[in-house]
Amino acid sequence: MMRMPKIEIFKSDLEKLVGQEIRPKDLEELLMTAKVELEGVDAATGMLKLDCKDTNRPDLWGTEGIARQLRGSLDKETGMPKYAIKESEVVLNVDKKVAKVRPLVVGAVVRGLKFDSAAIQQLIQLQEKIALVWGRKRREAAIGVYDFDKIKPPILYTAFKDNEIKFIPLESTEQMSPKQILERHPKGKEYGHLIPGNDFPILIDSADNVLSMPPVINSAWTGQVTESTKNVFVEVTGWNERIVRLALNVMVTALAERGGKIESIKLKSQSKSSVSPDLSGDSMAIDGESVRRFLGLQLSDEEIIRLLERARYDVKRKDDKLLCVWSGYRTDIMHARDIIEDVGVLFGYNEMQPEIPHIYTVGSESEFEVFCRRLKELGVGLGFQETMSFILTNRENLFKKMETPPVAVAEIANPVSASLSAMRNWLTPSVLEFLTKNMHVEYPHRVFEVGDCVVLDERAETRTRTLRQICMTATDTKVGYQDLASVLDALLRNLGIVYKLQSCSCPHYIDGRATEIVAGENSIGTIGEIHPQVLNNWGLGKPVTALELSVDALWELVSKKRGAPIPKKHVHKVL
Amino acid sequence: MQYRLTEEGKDYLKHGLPEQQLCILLSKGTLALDDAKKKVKSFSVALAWAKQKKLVTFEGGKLALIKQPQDWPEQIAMAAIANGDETHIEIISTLLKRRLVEEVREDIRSRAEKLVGSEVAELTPELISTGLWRKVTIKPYNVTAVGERISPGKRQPYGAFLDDVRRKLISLGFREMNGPLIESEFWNFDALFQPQSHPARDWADTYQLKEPSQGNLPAKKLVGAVSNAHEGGWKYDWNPAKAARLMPRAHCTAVSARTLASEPVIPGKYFCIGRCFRPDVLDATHLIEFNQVEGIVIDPRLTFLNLLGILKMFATEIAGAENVKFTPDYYPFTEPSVQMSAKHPELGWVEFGGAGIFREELTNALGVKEPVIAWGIGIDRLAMFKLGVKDIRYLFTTDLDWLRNEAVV
Repeated sequence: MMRMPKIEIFKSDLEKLVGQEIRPKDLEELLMTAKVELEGVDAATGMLKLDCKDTNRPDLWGTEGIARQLRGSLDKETGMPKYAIKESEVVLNVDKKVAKVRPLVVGAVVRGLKFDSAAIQQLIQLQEKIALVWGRKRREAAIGVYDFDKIKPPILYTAFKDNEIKFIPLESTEQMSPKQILERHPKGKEYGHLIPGNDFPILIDSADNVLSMPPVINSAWTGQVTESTKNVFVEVTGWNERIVRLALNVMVTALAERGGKIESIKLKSQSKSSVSPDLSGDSMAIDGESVRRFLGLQLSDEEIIRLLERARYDVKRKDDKLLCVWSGYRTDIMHARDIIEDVGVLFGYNEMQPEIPHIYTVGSESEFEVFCRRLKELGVGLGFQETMSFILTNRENLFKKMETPPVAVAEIANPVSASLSAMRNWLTPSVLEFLTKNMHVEYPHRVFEVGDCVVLDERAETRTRTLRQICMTATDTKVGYQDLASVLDALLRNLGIVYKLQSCSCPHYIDGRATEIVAGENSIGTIGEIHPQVLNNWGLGKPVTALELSVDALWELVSKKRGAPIPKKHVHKVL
Repeated sequence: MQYRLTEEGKDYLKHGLPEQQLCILLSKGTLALDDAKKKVKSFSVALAWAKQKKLVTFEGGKLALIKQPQDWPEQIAMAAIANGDETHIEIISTLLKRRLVEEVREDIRSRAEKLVGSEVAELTPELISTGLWRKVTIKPYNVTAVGERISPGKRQPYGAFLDDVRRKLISLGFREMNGPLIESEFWNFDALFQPQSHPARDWADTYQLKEPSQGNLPAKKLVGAVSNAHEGGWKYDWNPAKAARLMPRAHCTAVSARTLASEPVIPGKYFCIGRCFRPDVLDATHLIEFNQVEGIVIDPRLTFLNLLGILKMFATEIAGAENVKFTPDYYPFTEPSVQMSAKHPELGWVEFGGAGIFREELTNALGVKEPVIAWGIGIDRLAMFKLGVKDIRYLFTTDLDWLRNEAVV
């Protein structure tokens, strides 16, 4: 599951931007309309810990955007927010050298800001969360925010070779070349892999001051934005227009919410010229009837329009449809469904009356699972303790410890730990592992498991097959083949399965104390005394007798006996 | 058990079994029935046993010998018994049936008589059958002392709990569906409309299979529909090779996808209880391998209120919680999505499950036109409550002591 952004905001700051106090008991439901979940309140600092649930709404990952929405939810300010953009003369030249390194850049200037400490903290947090989550750890979007008064436009976005440029990166005092920064600076080590080659993207102004090396680090000269900063320059670099554009739009509208005035800049490259930011959003027509039908709520068109305006849409009636318009800080709407969701959220899920659908269906359990339960009942009836273990294990457990020649199994390419790196292809090692964990528990131990295993199968769609197996073990100071043989007999007899035993030689059993179990002309499993080398490998101190049978084979035999066609294990038809 | 010959038995031992006498007579030649009757004592017994042992035939009014047996096992046995020797159990049942031997009652009686007037520690079969239990006193036990501690064979409690959940879902009209443990990314992600660039598909967030690493994609038509949905909706070039990559399934929603693509019965309510895998650190609150309970509801008339209704029904029926609250939630494949929390008397609000309506792009590509509600229950957390464990790893415990001693209710 995608890690969604967790943020901390000041309640007082939020209330200031919303324009009213919010009662603690209203806070949780109100925040839900901004798609954030209240995780906790720090009474001492007045900070709210929030989970931002919608990973497609970076505009709601900070106080400014949340407040913008809450003003709508509270009916204080509805309809689509409109931000005036004044054209400036600032030019950002884009050199073709960045085309293969980090091709896209957009930017804007925002003037007239009055930051307090809360605002600075929120700005930094927003920038960080957008770059981390939306920008996929800066790969798709890296954001730079600078004190614009220090910058002398035009600004150039180009790429330098390592020996062509040196600058003092932020949080350092010495001049370094790009490679040195990548090697020595903490941010260089963290994000350096995003610059794979020998060309390093650099933003530099016309006074030859380096602004930054995207996506790694700002220069110490531009420094950081502080409470005394009045005008800022914001830029976003990356690879995908939609992602980069949205990141910028969220940043500049957040700054505008703080009182800033947005000014556009000109982007000039060899091939074209454009202007940024582009805050134009989009629109979609929906019809009231489909909203009513989908939600199951009897809302009139007027009520729907009111709710959408609270969700910060502009809505115009067009023919018999509702044309919904939204601002460029949102890019998440793909389908009418996304707009209908906003209607529901603003209505309030806890205001709705849940309705159980009147669908008359007959419930049923998979016959195979019913059979497995019978099997488990027999195991319990024979006095065995059922256990349930992980399917994930490792090759050493499956083969080396079992003195069994290794075969290919379904192995994980990126395991979290080496001990859980392969899917088991048989069950006995799991049950032996269970026994090793209980050597100080009173004997005898009679333990069984019915569980899934995975084997490779070239003919299968997923080139693997899931097998259901049963393994039963008995261990005690004195235990032998005969003890478990009578258990096996009782089990198969009670399943109505006729079988015979054939002497076999399995590396994990003692020779001469092991047999293959044959029923219906096929081998369905084995039973034997575990070889002392295997016991030594596992560190087990008492003899163990074990059996392992294919539950799938038992199922087939039992189904054949009934004369019914063998129902497939998986309900859906194989495509 | 001791045996001795009956009077009849003694007689046969001395003179031979009736069928033995008949055979000896017939070895000299055939006999008419009436003649034989006169010459053999207990003729009817002789004839019956001789016929049963296939020693004689009756043809043309005359009895004839088929064969003369080598030996007479009953005689040998009776001789041994008379001698006080051991005999084979099987033959004794024949002798008992023919009333040629009887159990030695005296022994039983004498054993019982020895105990008369004393205080006995145990009631014996001899005391019971002779009635002499009336003449002994049975020593009182310290009956309040607990007996030896034994453990019954038992179900694993987490497995038993999942079976309870299964039964509940069936009673609510849900039908079980199943799927393979190893899935292709196609079924685990692509068929669920999760774009190939989604962070949940990154190396660190989902397991991938090393070997084999690529599987097969399903039918061209279906693959085409899904790829069109991705390219039209998310606007990128869909890569079939990525979709064919294999992984241990991360959720049972893959099974729902398979079911939707297999012309399911509509209206339909389906569920799946299955093992899923996600990379994480194994600790007291996280498992790498866990069970999920998930499913779908398909019907043309489904509304969002039904989604809330289904979740509330699960809270009531499966968790026994009356008080629930809903929060908007976000999954890539459902829109809208809801998370439900239920009020626990001690722990307060606890997340219990979530649901959403599958995006139309998803269901259309899989061939379903009707709205589909996808739901999931956080079953591991609920299992922990029901089993009274605080560490999630206990669901797969290797603690035999705990398993043996935990109450089953």
